[in-house]
Amino acid sequence: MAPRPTQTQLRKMARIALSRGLPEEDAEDVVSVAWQKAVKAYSADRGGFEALLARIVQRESVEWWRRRKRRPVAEAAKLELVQSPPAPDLERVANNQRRLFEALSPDERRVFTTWALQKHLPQGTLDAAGAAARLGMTPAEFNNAKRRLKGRILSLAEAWGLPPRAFFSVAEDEGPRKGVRHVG
Amino acid sequence: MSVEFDEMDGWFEQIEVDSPLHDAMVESLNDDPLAVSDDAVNRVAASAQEKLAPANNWRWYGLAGLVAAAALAALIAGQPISEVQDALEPDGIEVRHPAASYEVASAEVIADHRSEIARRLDDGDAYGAWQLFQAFRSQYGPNVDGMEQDLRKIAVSLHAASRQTNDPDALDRAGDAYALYLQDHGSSENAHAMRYAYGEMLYKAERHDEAYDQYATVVRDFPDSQHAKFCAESAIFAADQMIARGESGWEAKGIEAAETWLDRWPDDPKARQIRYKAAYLHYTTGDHAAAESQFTQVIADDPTSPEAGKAADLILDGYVVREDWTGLADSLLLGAETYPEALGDKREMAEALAEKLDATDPERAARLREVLANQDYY
Repeated sequence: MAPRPTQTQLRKMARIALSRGLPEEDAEDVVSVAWQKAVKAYSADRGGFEALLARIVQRESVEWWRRRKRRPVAEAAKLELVQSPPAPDLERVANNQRRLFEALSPDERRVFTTWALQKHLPQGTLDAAGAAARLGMTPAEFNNAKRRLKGRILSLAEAWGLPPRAFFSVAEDEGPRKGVRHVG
Repeated sequence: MSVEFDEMDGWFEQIEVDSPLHDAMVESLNDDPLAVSDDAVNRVAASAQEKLAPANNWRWYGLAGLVAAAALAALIAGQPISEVQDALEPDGIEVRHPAASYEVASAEVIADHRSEIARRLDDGDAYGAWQLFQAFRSQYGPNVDGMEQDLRKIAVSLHAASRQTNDPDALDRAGDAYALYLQDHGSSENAHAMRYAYGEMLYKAERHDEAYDQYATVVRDFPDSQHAKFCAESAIFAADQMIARGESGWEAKGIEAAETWLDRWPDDPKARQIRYKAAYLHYTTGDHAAAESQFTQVIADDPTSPEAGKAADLILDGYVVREDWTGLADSLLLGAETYPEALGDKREMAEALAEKLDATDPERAARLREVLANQDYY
């Protein structure tokens, strides 16, 4: 009979997966897959089983992020674009992001990453207070930090002769706010 | 180029997988994981357990095979086949009779196994004993002779070993062993002691919610055991820890733990402090009537104690919070009557209150002023 995880092990794995931003439904799958992989992979000369289990859950959680597809432009409403925008050059965007990260200070990078996390995680996972707390700020301080960062991004973009959206995977004129007709 | 804040905010939703920004985001989650609620952890753990459990159950397809298996199980367990058949699912897909899941261990196998467990424990290899025990259990089940004693020794040894290292896995292993013991032998004569020890281990591991559950179970199910009083007090501390972490709903549990303790040991020297704690929790949850009742008792128990002074202040504060000026006045007047010397530091409050009541309740205002005039503050 295959071994079953204890409650402690299940909770530990669940906590790791959830704390990496996985929604509950996906965290359940990651936990069950990680357990099966750990049981299969374990041998006494590889160190403790618990440590192996934790490593596998962490790795599966990272893999979950990698397997995600790019989010659609609009999820709530059915939209028809007046004119299809050109797709962003992803390699160029990646290069621009690297260049931007190098130019930002460590604090600015943290604000940038936390801002992205707040917008990218499923709704309700990381609210404004939680995002601010990750940086040791109040929500008001975090808002101000984001506004300052926005200014910094715009100055860098201007200095490098780039449109600000060059740092993001956003096509020119893409987005529900510009040139879009709602249907349905 | 000008860009509105909201527009840039929307750009952050469009992040390409494998982009440097996406990698930075994932890395930040590894370096600084999100806080997650115990409720979400429990839900995911329960669902994952459901997903993993079906693969481990034996399945026979076809009623004939089921009946044959059930008959064999009944022979092994020495039970009437009718009891086994009752365990069959209506559609006859899955057998769940526990005896059908395990092999039968001979006396020699049992003796060899127990001897090896004892040897490993003597050698200080509690983890090795634990692994051997689990392998044996998965093959032969939880009810083989001597397993209760062996599992008890293993859990206690793992717990002792965890105290000597800073390895969090060591504490978790001890927790697993305790949990398994309580699952398999929760009705044994040693169960109360094991629950107490498990509660201590959970408290040390800062799993205060689970520690609370164990302590509360000892108090409820083993009220006359040697650890009941300690567990009753520890439940209060565990609830305190959860409150300090901002976990919702724990004030009520803290109150329950404190009032359980007070019911059992009302004349204990610690009763005043425990009563103050219960009163304070009532106060923080807005139940001022219950808070006042307990605070009043704290004062009556020993008017000169530090808790009495704080209790008096909080009774008055409760009235202020509710803007119950009449109640506040009556409370001050009663306090002045019962403990005249204690009104001294409330003079300013009483004067302000009298002024406030002049228009709406001049009689009370006048009584307050009379009491103040009669006080000797020197």
